[in-house]
Order: sequence, then structure tokens, then C-alpha cells
Amino acid sequence: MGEVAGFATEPAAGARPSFLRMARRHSILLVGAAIVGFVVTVTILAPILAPYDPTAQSPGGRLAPPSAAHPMGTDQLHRDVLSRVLYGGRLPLLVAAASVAISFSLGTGLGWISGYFGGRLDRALSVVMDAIYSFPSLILAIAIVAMLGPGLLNMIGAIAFVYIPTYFRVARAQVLTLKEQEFVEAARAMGGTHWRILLRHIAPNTLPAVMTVPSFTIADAILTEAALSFLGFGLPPPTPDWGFDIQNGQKFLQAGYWWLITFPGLMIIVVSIAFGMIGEGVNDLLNPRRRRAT
Amino acid sequence: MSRRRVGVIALAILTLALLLSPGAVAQREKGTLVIGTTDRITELSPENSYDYWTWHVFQQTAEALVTFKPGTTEIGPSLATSWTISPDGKVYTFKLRKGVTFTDGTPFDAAAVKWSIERALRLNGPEGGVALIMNIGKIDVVDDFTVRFTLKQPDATFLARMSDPIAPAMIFSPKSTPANEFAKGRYAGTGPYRLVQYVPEQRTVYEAYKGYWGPQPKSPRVITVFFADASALAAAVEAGQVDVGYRTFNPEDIVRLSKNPNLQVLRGPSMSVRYIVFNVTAKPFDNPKVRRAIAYAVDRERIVRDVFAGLNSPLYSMVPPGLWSHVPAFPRRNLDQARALLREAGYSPTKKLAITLWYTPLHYGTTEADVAAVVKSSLEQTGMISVDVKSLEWGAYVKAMSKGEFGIFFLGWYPDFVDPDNFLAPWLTESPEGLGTFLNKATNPADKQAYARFQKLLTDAKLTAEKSKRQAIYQEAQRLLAETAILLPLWKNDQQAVAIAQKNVKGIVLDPTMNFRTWLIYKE
Repeated sequence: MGEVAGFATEPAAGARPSFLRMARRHSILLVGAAIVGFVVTVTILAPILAPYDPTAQSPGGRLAPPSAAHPMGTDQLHRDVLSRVLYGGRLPLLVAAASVAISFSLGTGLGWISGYFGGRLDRALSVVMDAIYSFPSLILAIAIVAMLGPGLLNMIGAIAFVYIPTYFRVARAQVLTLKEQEFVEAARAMGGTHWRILLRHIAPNTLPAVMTVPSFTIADAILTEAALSFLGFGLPPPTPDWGFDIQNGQKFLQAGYWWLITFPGLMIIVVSIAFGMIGEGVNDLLNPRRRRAT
Repeated sequence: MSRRRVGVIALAILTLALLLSPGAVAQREKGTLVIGTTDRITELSPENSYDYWTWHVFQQTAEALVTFKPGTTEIGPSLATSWTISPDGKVYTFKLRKGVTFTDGTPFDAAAVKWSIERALRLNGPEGGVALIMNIGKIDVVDDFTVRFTLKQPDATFLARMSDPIAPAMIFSPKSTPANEFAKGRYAGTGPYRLVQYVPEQRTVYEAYKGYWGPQPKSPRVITVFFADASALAAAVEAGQVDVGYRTFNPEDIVRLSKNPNLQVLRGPSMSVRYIVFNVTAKPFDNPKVRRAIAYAVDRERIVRDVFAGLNSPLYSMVPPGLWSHVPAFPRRNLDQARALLREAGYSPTKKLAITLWYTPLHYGTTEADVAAVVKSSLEQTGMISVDVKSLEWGAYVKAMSKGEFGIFFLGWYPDFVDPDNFLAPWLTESPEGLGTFLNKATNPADKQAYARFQKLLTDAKLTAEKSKRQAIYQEAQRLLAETAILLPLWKNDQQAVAIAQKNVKGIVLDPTMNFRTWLIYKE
């Protein structure tokens, strides 16, 4: 197979790509999705899978190392760490998913409007979004939650707020490029109203670019939620939560009780990486890279 | 790209941990003593602050008429050299020390004493402890070095209330301290140190005041570093970055560092107590049966064992063991009694008592979340209580508490002065709103009666100077408190009176007053 005009060619005409070949090409996406799927399933099934009630302060010894009865050990209040890890993903995943859903909708919608209609609205929104974007996400989230007070909705709101500019920028940039295209001129010539053009013609074409963003922001949102819980802004004890348990377990690390923070910490790392892999994979899928002729 | 992302994520988690370290590495020249703490300063206003470390700063940089002799609970002269008390117990005449100057050069005299204390009484900030000296009726300048206080009522505890570190009783320069607004760090005391730098959340720096009337401090320069949490503090002590750490270590770290041959772990007698407060005007805590049920349901043993690795001790009275008149009046844990009382109050397993328990996550150490979790679990073991746990950062916590927004919450106390009165009066008669009980506004007739009774008991105890009579009265007051359960003593904070220092540090005195006198500390 050769290369024609800078495009990698497909295999010989007539041969359909086998599943294995597709799997190999999109391996990053599939592995990432598999990991996330596994974690989400396990989290949902926590009530069935967890050997103990994660808040029960009686099952095992105090600060017991991993053993057959407690594969991830117990914490200082005699709670089973494995059960807490199983249940502890609900909050980070829920908060991350909810915040990203909100940022996605608001950010993308505002980006469409700003990019299309331009003018003073666009300038004003861009300035605001740039200001928010320039803040380190964790610091901004802390500041917002500190103002609003701890609580589930406030955390979701704070994290959502932090990522709105990311979606805004991508959507707006796409709209700016697209609105100069010929098909938009054509639509206008045929008498399409602005809103119709925006929603029917432009917006859907921004999606390939915009859809690559959620997986990265979810990874980021999970880390931010963990940090907020770590710092005490999350849900109150004894709600199992990876971030909170890292905070609690941190005091015992120096004394040698490593299992309290290692297992929840591993979960956060694994899930964040998996979402990152999904993001990579989606990017590859929707925006295939054009290989240069060598 | 994905490999980089792995690195970024791993770094992010590491950075989270680092974000919580103090950042500023203290400078270590000879003669500079470095102290580490997890406490914080709220506001450097003697008329609007009421917390340990803020008053600690005032104690290093300013003085009062009298002081407690280090290592004892005995009162001795400070800015006053002698005093006489009138036969009716209401008039105290102090002779003042001559040749004393404030750090701004202003001479110290009777006019400054009158000015300072009247200022505190006048400004009386909402977050202050001015209530402690509210019994002062008037202050007269007899001559430049004699000042006379006339009290509203005789008070056997008055002298103790005029000692450092009780900030409203301390004397500040009229030249450098604003007359009609909260000081917020703008003040000059008489020494032994001057406060030369205060970076909130980071550090304070004291330098010896060369013009001090007494012996120069053993260490001419003291830097206090504020650590984000107890683990960071312990790590810094271990690494030799601070000379002495004080307030408050994780129990596990105390156990571990006790075995470290390069460090010394000093334990003092602790008069620091931790307890639960009920706002008796907030439903359902206006019902004494509910309060008493909770008193029967808490599990002090479990708190001490699981949260504090056995380093603290369960407490059955607000007056701690070790202080005269202590009687363990509160009942031992009894779930059946708890359930019986709840049933009498109209609750059942299907109609549970639903309460919101408040705590503050950092001010009392990072163990507080666990304490709340254990209390929640112990109360829910009755099967008839459901507990919702909530938290607020200390500044907001104090404000909400004094506005009556909490029904049941945790608080801590260390004595302003070592006397049983100071372990009962503040919540029951002196400052029931400021400390969240609102007993003075009780709606339930039984509680109103209790308030009247406490007022009588505690006033009588102050009117008599005879210790055996006072003892009997305080014992009755403790029994009444257990019956009415307005406060719920939980544990004695032995672990808070722990200082961990490098081997070459000398002069640390941990006594029942819980004062931490940095001017006595030095390095060999």
C-alpha cells in the first residue's frame, strides 16, 4: 500500500476491517473505557460486593494490615478499607460526571453563541472566560466552595464553574472557523435565520472537537473533587470517599500504616488515567491524524 | 501525550501533599528559637479574640498586673508589685512597678492601666473574652503608680482574672493602640518580646525588647511557624526543622516520636477539656430528656481508644480531675437508659430523633472528623437516633455558634485561670450566648430554673474566700450540670499538653495553666 496525497490508504478494496484490527487501532480508547466501565460497575455494585458496611466501626481490629478477612486492612476506627474503597468512588464519579455535564452544556452553549454572534457580547464573554480560565482550577474550586460552604451541590457547582471556559473556548474557536465556510453562506442565502443556521448547521459540526474535551475534564474533575474532600470541603464523615480517606489516612502514613491511603489513592490514579486514555482514543477517532508523506 | 498525562496526574497528587506544607523554611541562626504549631491566630485584638494562640502571642509581647508563677498555680506580681483588698472584697488597690516602658518607648503608669482596661470593656468585641472582667465597676488613678479597681460584686477569682494571658486584662500603650477600633495587630506591650512580624497562616517573629524591665528572654529571637496539619508538624520536628512543636500532634506521631532517641517528648498536666454543647433554645435540645439520653449514649471509651490511641482520658465532669472540687458526676454509658429517656421524649425506632452534629475540621486538630464519626456511631447504636454530621471552618464556626445556629456541637476549653469557676461559669452564667448554650434564654421551665440555680451557686462560690465552702458549692454545681446535661464533658486532652522538642532545647515548662512561656526556652 502506498500513500496518496498525504492520506494513509485503507487496505485493499473489498476487505472489510476486522474487529481485531479496529481494536488494535483504537486500543487506547477501548482499554480506557474498559477500566472506567469496570470501576463504575464495581462502584454501582458496591452494596453487593462490599464485605462490610463501610461506615461500621466494628468489623475488624484497629489499623490492621491487609489480611484474608480484610484484604485492604482496616482503618483507625476499625472500618474495612476494601468496603470503603468500593463505596468511595460514588462521590468522585458522581460529582465529576455531574460537573462535567454542566460545564459541557453551559460552556459549549455560550461558546456557540459568543462565536457566532460576535461583537460586544463575544468580547465581554471572552474576557470573563479568560479570567476564569487563568486561575489554577484547584484554587478556584476551593475559593468557590469556601464561599458557598461544604455540600454536594456546592461542590458540583464549584467544579462545573471551573471547567466552563474550557468548553467555551473550544466551541467558540470551532464556530469562528465554521461560520466562514461556504455551506453557511449558502444556508444564509437560502433564507435561514441566525438561530437556525447556528443550531442546525454549525453546532453539530463543532461536536467532533468538543467531544474530545469531557474525558480530560472528568479526569481533572475527579482529582479536584479528591482534593476538595482532602481539604475538608466535601461531604461530612463518615461518608466513604476516596479523597476524604486519603486525607484521613495521611496522618498514619508516617507511623507505617500505609494501606489507608495507598488503596484509595491508587483508585484515583487509575480512574484518572483511564479517562485520559478515553480522551486520547476519542480524539483519535473523531479527528484522525493525517500522516505526512515521508 | 498519555505518558505525560500519567506523570502529570502523579505529580498532581504529590503536589496536593506538598501544598499543605508550610512553605516558608524558618531561618535557623544561633539564638533563634523555632517553634512549630498547628494552631492559628484569629485576630490580634485583645478585645475581640478568645483563643489559645492569639492570647499566647499577647502573653509573649505584653503583660498584666499579676501573673502565675511558672510551674505553679500561684499568683505573683507582674506589672503590679503589690496589692491590697478591702474588707468587703470589692476594692483592689494595686501599686505599680516603676521604670517600665512599652516597646514604643511610652512610659508605663496608672493612666495606661486605666486606659487599656476601660478600652477593652468599652470595645467588648463579639468574639472576645471581655466577659471575664465584666465585674469591674470602675477604675481610678490614685496617683501615677497606684490604681484602684472597684468591683460590682466581691469575687474570689478576681486576681486570677487580672493575670496574663487574659488579653482584656493586659496593658497596652495608649500611643500605639487604637482607642476606638479593634487593634488587629496594632499594639505595643511591655515585653518581654516585641512582635516584629506576623504573616497570617505562615509565621510570627518575636524579638527581645531591649528595654524590658525584667530579665532578658533566654532566646533573643523566636520564630513561630504555622503548619497546615499535625503530620507536617511531626515531620518537621523529626527533620530538625523546628526546635519545639506544641499543639497539636497526632496521637500516632506522639507514640512514634516517643521512641525517637533524638527527641524529647514532654507531657504536662492538662487542664484542657473537650465536650459537647447543647443550645437549650434549639429544638429538640430544649428537652432535658433528649440531652440526658445523648449523655447516656456517648461512648467516651471508644473515642479515647480509637481516635486518640489511648492518649487521652474520658471525662465525667467539666471540672477536670486534678483540680480541687472535681466530682465525676456524669453517668457512665448506658444504652438502655438512653433508649428509655428517648421513649419518654416521644421517640422510637420508627420515629427517630434526628439531629445535626457540628464540628470544626482543623482548629482542634485533624482528629475531629473521626471524633464526630465515633459519636455519630455511638448515638445511632441506640437505634433511635439518626445523626447528620456537618462541619465549618473555625472562624465561621465561632460566628455561627454565637448566633445560635447550632443545636449540638463540639467545643474545647482550657482554663483562663485555674479555678473551678472557670470550668462552669463561662457557659452557664457568664457568656451563655457567646459559648453557644443560650441558657440565659432557655424556654423550658426546668432549664430556666436550672439557670437561676447556677447563677445563685456560682455567685455564692465567688463571694466567699473560704475554700472548703467553695468546694461544696462547686460539687453541687457539677451534679446539677450532670442532671441537666447542658454540657456534655467527653475527654480530657492530655495529648494537647505535649511538646516535642530537639534534645538540646531547655526551659520548657508545661504546667496546669497551660501557658507556653517562650522567654524561658533556649537551646544549648
